[in-house]
Amino acid sequence: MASSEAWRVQMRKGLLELCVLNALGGGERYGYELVKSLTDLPGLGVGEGTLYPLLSRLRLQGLVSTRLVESSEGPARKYYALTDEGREAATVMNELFGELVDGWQRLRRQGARRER
Amino acid sequence: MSTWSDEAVAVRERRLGELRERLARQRDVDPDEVVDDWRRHLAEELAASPTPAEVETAVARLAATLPGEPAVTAPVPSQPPRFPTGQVPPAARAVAVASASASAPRVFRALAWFCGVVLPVAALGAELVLSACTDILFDPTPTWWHALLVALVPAANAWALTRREPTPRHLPTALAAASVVAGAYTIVFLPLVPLAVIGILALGIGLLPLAPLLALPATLRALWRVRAGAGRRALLGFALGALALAVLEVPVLVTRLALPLAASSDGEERARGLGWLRWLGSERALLTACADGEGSGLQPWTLARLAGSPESVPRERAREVWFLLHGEPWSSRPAAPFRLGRSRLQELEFDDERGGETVGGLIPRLALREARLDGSVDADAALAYLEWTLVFANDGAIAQEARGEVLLPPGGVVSRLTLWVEGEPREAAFAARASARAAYQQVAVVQRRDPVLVTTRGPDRVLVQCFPVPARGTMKVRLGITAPLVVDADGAAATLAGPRFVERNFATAARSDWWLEAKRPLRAAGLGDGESLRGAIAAARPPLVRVARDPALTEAWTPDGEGAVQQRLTAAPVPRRLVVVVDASAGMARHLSALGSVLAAAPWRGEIALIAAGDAPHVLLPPTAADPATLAAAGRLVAGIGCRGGCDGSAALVQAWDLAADAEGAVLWLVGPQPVVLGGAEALSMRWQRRPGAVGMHVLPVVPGPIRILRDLETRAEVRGVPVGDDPAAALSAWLARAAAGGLEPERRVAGAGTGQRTSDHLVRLQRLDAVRGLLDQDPAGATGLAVANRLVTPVSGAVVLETDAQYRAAGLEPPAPQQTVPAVPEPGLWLLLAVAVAAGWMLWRRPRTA
Repeated sequence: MASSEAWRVQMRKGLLELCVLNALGGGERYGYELVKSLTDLPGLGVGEGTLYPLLSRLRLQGLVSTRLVESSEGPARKYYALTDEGREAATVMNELFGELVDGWQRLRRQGARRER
Repeated sequence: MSTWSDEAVAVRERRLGELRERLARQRDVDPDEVVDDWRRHLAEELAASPTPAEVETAVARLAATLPGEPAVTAPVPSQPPRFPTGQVPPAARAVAVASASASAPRVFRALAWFCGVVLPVAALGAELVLSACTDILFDPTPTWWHALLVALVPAANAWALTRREPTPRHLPTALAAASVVAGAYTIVFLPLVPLAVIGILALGIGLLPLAPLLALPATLRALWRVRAGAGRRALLGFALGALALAVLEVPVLVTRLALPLAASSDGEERARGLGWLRWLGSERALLTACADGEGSGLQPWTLARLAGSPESVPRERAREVWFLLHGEPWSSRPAAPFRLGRSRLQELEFDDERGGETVGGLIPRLALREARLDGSVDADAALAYLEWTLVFANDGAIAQEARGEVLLPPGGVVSRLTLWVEGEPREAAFAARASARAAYQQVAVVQRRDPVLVTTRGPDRVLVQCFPVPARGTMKVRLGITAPLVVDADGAAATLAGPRFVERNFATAARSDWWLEAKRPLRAAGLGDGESLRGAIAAARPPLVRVARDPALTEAWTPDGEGAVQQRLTAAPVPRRLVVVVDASAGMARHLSALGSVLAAAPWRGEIALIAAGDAPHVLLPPTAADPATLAAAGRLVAGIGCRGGCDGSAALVQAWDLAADAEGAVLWLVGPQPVVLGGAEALSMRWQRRPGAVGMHVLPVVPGPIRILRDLETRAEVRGVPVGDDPAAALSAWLARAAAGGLEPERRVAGAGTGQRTSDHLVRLQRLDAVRGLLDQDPAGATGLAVANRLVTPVSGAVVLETDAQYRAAGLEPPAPQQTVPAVPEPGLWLLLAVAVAAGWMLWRRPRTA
C-alpha cells in the first residue's frame, strides 16, 4: 500500500540517526565497517548512499567526530566516534524512543483487551 | 595496493561529480567530505583493479540510495530548529530538546551523583570506620553482607551515571536491587529524619542519616531512565534485593520473636521457642541479646515492632537460652563486631557487670598478659603451696575490671592475696564475705581506687575481681593457694592440679610460666620430671603434676600455738554403689567415647548405675553389679549418649543422690560448663541437710567452665572436685582407680603434740578450713571468725586488698599487720644463696688454722 510504504520510509528516516548513534555507542568504529553493518541490518533498509551524507551531517552537528588513519593498503581509513554531545543526544533519543515503545505497547494491550 | 586503471578512475570521478552536484543542494552536508567518503567506500568495495563497468555499477548503487529530496536535517545546536512540516523524525526533535535544555540534565546529574553515590559512600564509610550509629543507636551494618548490600546502592548509581549506550544488560537488575536496599534502609532510618533535619538546620551537620532517604529517589530515577525493555530484569532485581534482605534479616526477626518463648518458664512454650531458634535463629542476634538485652540487625524498632515483638528479654534469661541452645556459656564466644576502624565509644563502653558477682562477656582490649605459678610441694605431708602471679593489661581508653572464676586444686583454699600498688606489694585483709565485698565495691566502683577481691564461687572455685585495671596500664596481683595433694591408694604418689580460669572477662595469655620445687621427684607433661619443674605450659589446660612420696609416711604435723595440728592419711571407705551422671550438653560430645572406654575398663567392683543428664534425666543403667560385662555395657552407653544444646543437671543429680543414698554410694558427675541452673539446688541441699555426709558427690569438669549449681552447694563438704589436667579421660581413670581401692584421705585435728613428718604451717590452714566447713551449718558466725582469723577465703569470708589503712578502717576492716603473711615460696635464688652460705661456712670451719 502506498501510504504504508511512505510510513515505512518516514519510520526509517526517523530512526536512522538513532541507529547510527547507537551503533557508535560501543566506541570508535571504522567507517566502512560501520556502514556495512548498518546496511546489512535487516529491516532498516538503508543504503551507503544515505549513510555517508548522514554521517557528514552528524559530524557537522558535533555529534560525531572523525579521524583518519593512514593505511599502506589504500586510502587513509576514516574512523567515527561519538562525542559527548553525541552520547547525550543518544541518551535522550533512546529515552524518548523508550517512551514511544511503552505507549505503543500500552495501546496494543488495550486494543487486544477490547477485542476480547 | 589499489591499481585502478585510468579509465576506472575517470568513470569514478565523473559519476561522483554528478552525485556531488546533487549533494550540494542538501543543507548541513559537506559535499566534498561525502564524496571523499564514497571514494574510500569504493576503494574498499571493489577489487584492486576494477573495470570501468564495475565502477559504474558500484556508483549507481550509491546513487540509488542517495535521497533525491533535500535531506531532512536536524538543526545544529546553535540554530533554532526548522523542520519541514510532517517530516520531522521524533528522534531529531528530541535532540533539539536535549540541546535546548542541556543545563537541566547537568543539574540533575550532579544531584544524582551526590545523592546516589557520594552520600551513601560517605555514610557507609563513616559507619564502618567510626561506628557512630552503632555506638549510639543500632548497628546498620552488622555483617559483611549488610555492608555489601549497602555498597550496592552507590555502585549501581555510579554504574548508571557512567554507562555508555546501549544500556548494559544487568544495569536495570542492579538498580532495582539497590532500590530495595535503599528503601529498606529508608524505613529503618525514618525515625531519625526529624533529628537529622534539626541537626542540619541548627548545627549544619546531620546529612549522613538522610543518606538512604536521598539515595532512594536517585536510584529510582536511574532505574526509570533505563526501564525501556528492561521490565523483566528490573523485576528480577527487585526480587533479588528483597531476597537478600530477607536472608539477612528474617533470622534476626525470628530470634526477636522466639526468644521470649524460649525464655518462658512454660515448658511447651520454651520448647517451641527453642525449636524456632535452632531452625532459623540468628546467633549474632542472640549473642547481642546476651550482651545487652537488646536486639540487633536493622530492626531495633521497626520491623520487629511492626511484627508485634514484645519487650526485650532480660539478658540473664537470654544467656540461659544461649546455654540451652549451644551448651556453653555465651561469654565463650568472642564478640567480634564487623568494623574496619576502632569505635571510640566502644572503648568507653561501660561494663554493666562491674563490681558484681557475674563474670560477664569479654571486654575488648583487656587481657591477662602474664601468668606465673611458683610452688613448693611437700609430698610426704601431702600438701602444697602455690603462688599464682597474674598481670592484667588494659589497652583500652578507660579503666576496666578484670573478673574471672578460678578452679583451684581440689580441697584448696586461697590463703594469701597480694596487690602491687605503685610497685609495692600490699597484702589483703580477710573479712566476712559481705564486708569484704562491700569494701571492694565502695573503694573500687565508687572511688575507683586499687582493690582486689577474692570470694568463693563453689567448692574449689573462687571469683577474682581486680579494679581498676587502668587504661593503657597493668595491674599485678598474686594469689596464694594452700592445697592438699590427692594421694593414691597405695600412698606411693600423689597428684596436684594447677589453678586455671574457667570463666573470665578478659583474653588470656596462651602460656603460663611454672616453677615447682619439691624434695621428691615431680613429673608433669610439658615440664619433664625432677625435683624442680620449670617451663611454660598451656594456660588454659595445665597438666596434672604427679609427685612421688614415701608410702610409709602417713602422718605429718606442724606447730599450732602451744599445740600442734596432726594429719593422718587413712584409707577412705569404698562406696558400695557408684552412680555416674553424664552431662549430655553439646560440649561433652567429643569426650564421651574416651570416657566410655575408661569406664568400660574401670577396676570397679561394687554396683554401678548410669544416668544421662539430658533435657530430662534418663537412667541408662539401673544399679547393677559391676562385672566386666556390665562395665562394658556402661561404657557403650556413655559413648552413645546423644548430646544437644545445654542440659541442666540438677534433676539428674537429685535422682543420682537418691540412688547413691540407698546403698552407701557416691555420685560421680562428668560435666561440662553449666552457666545456668534451671532446676535449682534446693532439692539437693535439702537431702544433705537431712542426711549430712550420706552421699559424696565428686565433680569431674570434663570441659572447663562455670558450674552454676555449685555456687548453691559451696557450703556442702560432701561436694568435692576431681583433679583434671589436660586429659579428662586420664583424670577419670585415675579417680576410678583410686576410688575403687580406697584412696588415702587426710584427717586433720588439733593435738597436744605432733608425730610423724614435720611440715609447714600450711597444714594449720588446711585444718582450719576443715573446721570452718564443719561450722558452716551450725555456727556460721563462728565459722566466719575462724576463717578471718586464719586468713582463708571460704564461703563465709573473703579477701580484699585496699590501698590505705584508712580505707580499711573506713570499711570496718582490720588492716593487715605488716608481717601478717603466709610463709611464701622461697625464691629459687634464695635456695642457692642458702646453699652457698652453708658451703662457705663449712669451708671456713674446715680451713687450716695457722699457729
